[in-house]
Amino acid sequence: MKPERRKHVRRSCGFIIDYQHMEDENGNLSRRAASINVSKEGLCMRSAYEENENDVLLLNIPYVTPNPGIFAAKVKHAVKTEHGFLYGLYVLPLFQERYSVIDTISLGSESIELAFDGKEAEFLRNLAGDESLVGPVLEGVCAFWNELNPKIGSRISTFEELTEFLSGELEKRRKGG
Amino acid sequence: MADKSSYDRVSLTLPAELHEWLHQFTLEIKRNGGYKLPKTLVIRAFIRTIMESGLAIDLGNIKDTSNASIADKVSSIKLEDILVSRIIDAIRSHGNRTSQ
Repeated sequence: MKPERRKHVRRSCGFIIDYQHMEDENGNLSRRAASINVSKEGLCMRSAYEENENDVLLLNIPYVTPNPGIFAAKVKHAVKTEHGFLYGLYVLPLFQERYSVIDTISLGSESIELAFDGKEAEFLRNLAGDESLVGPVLEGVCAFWNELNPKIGSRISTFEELTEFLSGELEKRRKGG
Repeated sequence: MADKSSYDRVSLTLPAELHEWLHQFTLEIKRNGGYKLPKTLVIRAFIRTIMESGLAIDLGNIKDTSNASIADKVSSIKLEDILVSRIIDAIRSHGNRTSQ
């Protein structure tokens, strides 16, 4: 088998897929190793895949990115399985005209990009006391609400309605001890 | 409308269980007739609610002035867990004050 490197770059959902092709003696092309680069932020992961007959790529990507938040925020179609979360990435198959390939990546955690206004950010910084602890504090706040487990019983469609509802739940907890 | 370009941006990685709960929470909002609010907005609401509640959350003994840095301390204890218990403590003490 004569390896022939043909670099193809396709972009979808913020990902760049880099294929390497193999050409056998009959001129048939097959795909093998791929590297995946998370696009403009400069984060990078490498992986390999095996191509099966259904043209589905199953990726097992080591979690090596220094800032997984930017990566995971771009991932769509997460589903939970017994092995953790599987993230579907749509990539453009090289020899097909349609988007049909779904890559799956198993990761143990999920990242979210958050944006806070000035007052919220200041409150967080004060609570954390240290810039590096903002993440754990945010996780703690989420864990707190998880523990409180507020049950939605009314229609909530806006940020203000949500904060009002949460304030009520907090008040209930205060009164309930 | 606020200019979001001035917002502070933070990337938060959550454990799978916590993320799943958050996801279900947003779905629950939708199931009750509302919109499916983005998780980032829900977390902002979590923060905003605590911020506006006036709770005095005491993180004193993990931010004391001993030689060990906070980062050193939280490497051996889980700040997330401490924060949860401190917020609950703050709610209890606030509840006690208001009932007296």
